[in-house]
Amino acid sequence: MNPKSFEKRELQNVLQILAENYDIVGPVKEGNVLKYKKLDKFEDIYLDFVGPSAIPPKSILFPQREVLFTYELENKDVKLHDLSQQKPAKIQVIFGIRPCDAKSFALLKLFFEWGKYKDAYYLEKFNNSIFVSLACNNTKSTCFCTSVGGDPFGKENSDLQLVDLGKKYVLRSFTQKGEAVLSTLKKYADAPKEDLQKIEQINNDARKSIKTHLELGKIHEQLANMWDDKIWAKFSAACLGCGSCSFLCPTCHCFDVIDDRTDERHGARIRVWDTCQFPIFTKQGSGFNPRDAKLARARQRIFHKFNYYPTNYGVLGCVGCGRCICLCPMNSDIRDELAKVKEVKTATT
Amino acid sequence: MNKLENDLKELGKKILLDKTVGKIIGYSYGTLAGKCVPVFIDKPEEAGKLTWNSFCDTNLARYIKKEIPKEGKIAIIAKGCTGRAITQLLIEKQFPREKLYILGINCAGTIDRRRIANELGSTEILEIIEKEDKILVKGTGFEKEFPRAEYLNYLCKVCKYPIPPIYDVLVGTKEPKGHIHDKYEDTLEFEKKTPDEKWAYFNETLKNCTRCYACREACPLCYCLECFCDQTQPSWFCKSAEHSEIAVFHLVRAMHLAGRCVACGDCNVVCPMGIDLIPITRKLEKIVKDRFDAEVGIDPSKPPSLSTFCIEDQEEFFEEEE
Repeated sequence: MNPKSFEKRELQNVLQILAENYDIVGPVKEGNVLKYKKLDKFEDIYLDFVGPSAIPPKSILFPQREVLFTYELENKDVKLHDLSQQKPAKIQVIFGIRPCDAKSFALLKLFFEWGKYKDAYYLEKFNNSIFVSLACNNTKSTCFCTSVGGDPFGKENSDLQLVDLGKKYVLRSFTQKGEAVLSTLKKYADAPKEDLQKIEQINNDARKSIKTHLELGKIHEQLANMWDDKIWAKFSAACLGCGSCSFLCPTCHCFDVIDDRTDERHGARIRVWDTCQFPIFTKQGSGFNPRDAKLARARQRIFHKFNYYPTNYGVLGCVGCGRCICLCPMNSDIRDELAKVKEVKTATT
Repeated sequence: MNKLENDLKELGKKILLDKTVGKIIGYSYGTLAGKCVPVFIDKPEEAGKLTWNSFCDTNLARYIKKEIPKEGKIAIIAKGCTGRAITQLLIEKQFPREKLYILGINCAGTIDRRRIANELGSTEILEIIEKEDKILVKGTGFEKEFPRAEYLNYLCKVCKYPIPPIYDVLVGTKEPKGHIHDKYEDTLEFEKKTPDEKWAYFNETLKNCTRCYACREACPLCYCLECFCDQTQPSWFCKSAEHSEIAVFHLVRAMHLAGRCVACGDCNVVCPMGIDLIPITRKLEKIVKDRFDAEVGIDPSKPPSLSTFCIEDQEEFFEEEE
């Protein structure tokens, strides 16, 4: 279908139409923190932001606290309520995510569907979601999506994309799922040719506005020789170990599974976000901790994204959103770290 | 470059060259505008990286315990609140005084960068320049000035101790800033709230907490080898970020810091979500001031208020209610 265009003030009506068939999730501001939530009132949607939200939309498919099953004791029996096969009543439209975040869902999927056991919790939600990205007309100084294969107007894993043309929006679809959504918006006019040309222009300008360019083609090979390098101690010297770089990373997916007891007879097994930056993350039952030094944890983060991901899945595990740079209390800068990885001469023996 | 910063670079180079110390914990520029980050310098030729300005907001005292060498000394750049943290850590016998060479600084307060960023909304700050009593902020297509005094961190506005209580050398002048009489007006105002209103306030304030524990990690006095919330045997409470768990974490942490918090506000500065924890720490300060007439980390010979018993202490909870 041709892209649709509509006046900005029509946005709430558009969402209203979509809400007839779908649940709508979008960016909202709580205090000064931008996060994604199911929208009850469409006027809450906040699209006037530059760069990524503080809390990434991964929290929708992979929430910080997720119930895996609940249990109930009845006399001597235990009744389990498995939530892994639970289907949502409606398909959800995740609206207004940055193209880098849209891509992150595909990277998370690589992990959650890898190997013999599929993660039904994530995959079920993924398959029942429609991703509507919001193209980046403006970028932040910390954005570096183009260095990791992305683009401010990137299409990867976007079913649809919303483009801001000043007074109006253009909504364009890239997939069948997206077509289905567009077909419910028949009352809106097709976007005229000049709008589409304008999109090209804005896209080019946005791409040019990204100032960080890193050649990361062979980084996984370079890293492979740098396990014992001195840079890891340097990168991690000031690190607080708060793990916000990974908690709030759209592609980080580590979790812990624990039991949350409600009372003597009821409780739930839940999974919660975990991060390789916490010392307790790798602490073993014996008390031994194979990754008990800060430098080892700093190394793990870079290795996971730029060595293990390319080795296991053939792609970089980073979408270049720059959240980890903006949110680090100590201004640890992954761009700097990557640039130094390349600079370092690797030992040849 | 300001004179203080220049003096600091020269002194830093000197003490590394003459081997007074093996390492300096100081501040250096980060990669983002208006961000200064901790730096660890052990080569005289790198002393030029040291900086001092209104964005050196982190309390460096938290790094001492890990950095203290077996032999020799380390130096630390200490503004008033860093000095208070050092004093309190010495009172709590966390490291020997002779291992530390304190480069004291008469601090004029640090800037609340977050407040400026929030007021600018989605416009990104690309450059921040300090101009005496003004802060000039630049971004794409805009320039804006903020009055320095108004945009100081709140705790800097009410700070009475810009100079560390103990130091080996003071860089710059000793000239005190104007006299400050802190009446805890903010806390008095907060105390007027009903319990329900207070609870609503905390839920609202803490709702964005992700339990990353940056506040705990930044705190110079949060040095337990194993924090209660990391314990697994027993596990005191769940690891997710539900309201009740967030509240338990912050309130228990507050209890642990009563009579020990040195009012540096670093917990506040480092929070990735911008949560304002100052109402909690201010209340701690006020209780200790009211009950024990004590201020934390000022007098190295004074034991912590809550670790000592004085017959004059108010103990009204011993009395039976009417």
